[in-house]
Amino acid sequence: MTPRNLPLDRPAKRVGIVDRAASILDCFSRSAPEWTLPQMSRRLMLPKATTFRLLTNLVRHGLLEHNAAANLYTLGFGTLRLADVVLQSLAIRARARPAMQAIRDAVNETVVLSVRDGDNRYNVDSIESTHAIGQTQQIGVAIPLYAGAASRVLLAAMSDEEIGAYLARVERNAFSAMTITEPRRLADEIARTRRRGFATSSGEFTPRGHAVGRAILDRDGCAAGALHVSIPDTRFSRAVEKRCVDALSEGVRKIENGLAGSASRDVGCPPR
Amino acid sequence: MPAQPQTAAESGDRNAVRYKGEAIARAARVLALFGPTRRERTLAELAEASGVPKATLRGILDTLVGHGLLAVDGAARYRLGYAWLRLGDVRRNQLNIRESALPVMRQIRDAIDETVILSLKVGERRVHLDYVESTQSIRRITQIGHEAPLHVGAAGSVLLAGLSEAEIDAYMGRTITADDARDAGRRFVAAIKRDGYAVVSGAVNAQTAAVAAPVQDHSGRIIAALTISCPRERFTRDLESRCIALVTGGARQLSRTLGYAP
Repeated sequence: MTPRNLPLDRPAKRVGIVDRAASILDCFSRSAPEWTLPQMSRRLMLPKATTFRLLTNLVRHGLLEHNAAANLYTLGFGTLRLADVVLQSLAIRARARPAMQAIRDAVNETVVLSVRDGDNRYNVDSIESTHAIGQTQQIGVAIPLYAGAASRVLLAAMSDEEIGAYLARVERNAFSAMTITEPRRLADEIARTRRRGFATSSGEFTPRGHAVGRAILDRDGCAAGALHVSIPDTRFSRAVEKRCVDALSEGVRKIENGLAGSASRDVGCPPR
Repeated sequence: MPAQPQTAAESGDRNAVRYKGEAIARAARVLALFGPTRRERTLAELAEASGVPKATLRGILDTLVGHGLLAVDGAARYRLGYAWLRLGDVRRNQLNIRESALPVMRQIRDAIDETVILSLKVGERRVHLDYVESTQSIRRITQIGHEAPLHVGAAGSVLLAGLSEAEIDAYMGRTITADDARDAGRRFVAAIKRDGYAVVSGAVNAQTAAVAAPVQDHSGRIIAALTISCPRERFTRDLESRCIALVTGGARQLSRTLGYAP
């Protein structure tokens, strides 16, 4: 069974107050890490008094912090603790780390680990290149399975039946002119990825970002995750791409050898 | 954010405020039930552990799942959702250790009038990120960005002691060639782990002495070192014990600011 984001047997029933509190958390991002009460009230379309009570409750539980001097709300340390629990429960992260470090050292480009959850992929760890210029990888953001190299290798690791159901279920929007959304072209790319064992992409998800990706398969052939190397346009060439593919393949082989001797499997990695 | 119909609890009287707080408190309590050893839990387990009635709990769980704060699999087992990775990443990006450390560093300098230094581990070296200087005419002078191997000096040794046993062994094996020096290094790191601070005299520089203590983040990881450094000629037993008290107290205070909760 694939983990889903909806329970199976009944319609979802939301609690309004918790829903609003969670909507407050949804507002925080790298580009909007600080909010004032009036800004949040406008964004939620709720009265200031209601918004204030929600914010105050979130502060009480450590999920937000209030800087009284600047009158700003930011995320609290509670979010870091819960994020750590999620990271620690991903066994693949600890197993992939040494290989990620080796790949980064070999090519000095940013190496990212991502995992599939339902219809999305999430970056869960990255080791950045030491160059001043590089693509910052957003951690924990849902990325669809049809865009980019890391997504494609995870898609290619699914059964044809699962892929068919996925393509029928999911609406595909182009992030750029390079995003592949037509089922036939996607099928071609999946076949090519399976043949080669890795995927390459240019600007499909991030404009002017290149990537090479490879799935990490466990002993049942299930994708425990994917590694990709992200290369900015300014340093990209076919030769660089080739070097990244080689380093990536070598690193993934090492992780897979480690996985072969282990029965431990992350939550969310179903047998094929 | 979808507009929700107003409920009775929204009408604004005192009871309603308490009710609102309670629903959020219950959600927070449910989230706190997940930990490294408890990554998956069923509705029944969550109901029992939180004391929230199952019918109410279902609504809270559905809501959290809807926002990606929880995820549920086909067998109705709940776990924390990847949205926490996004939120943790945003929060981590805002951690400004230098800004948080400066008031603590000034406070220590004002108390003892010796130079206070903040250092990080970068690769296998310790690097000074910032310092607050003593006002005395003879004082420790350093530079931002100054580097040394981890095992040389008080700050680096404290950062080295923050690594795992395996990492420390690997580092020692790679960097220190003489067997007796390596053993001495291991004993020193063990002493730092036991005492919670390092005292070094004349290692980085023949004329200086330093006392360093570890700074920890929300997860307990050692992420920086706070150091008081002074001329060796002033470094009496009395000054040493005052430095130890000030630097360990300051490092604890800074760690709390960075979310460390022992």
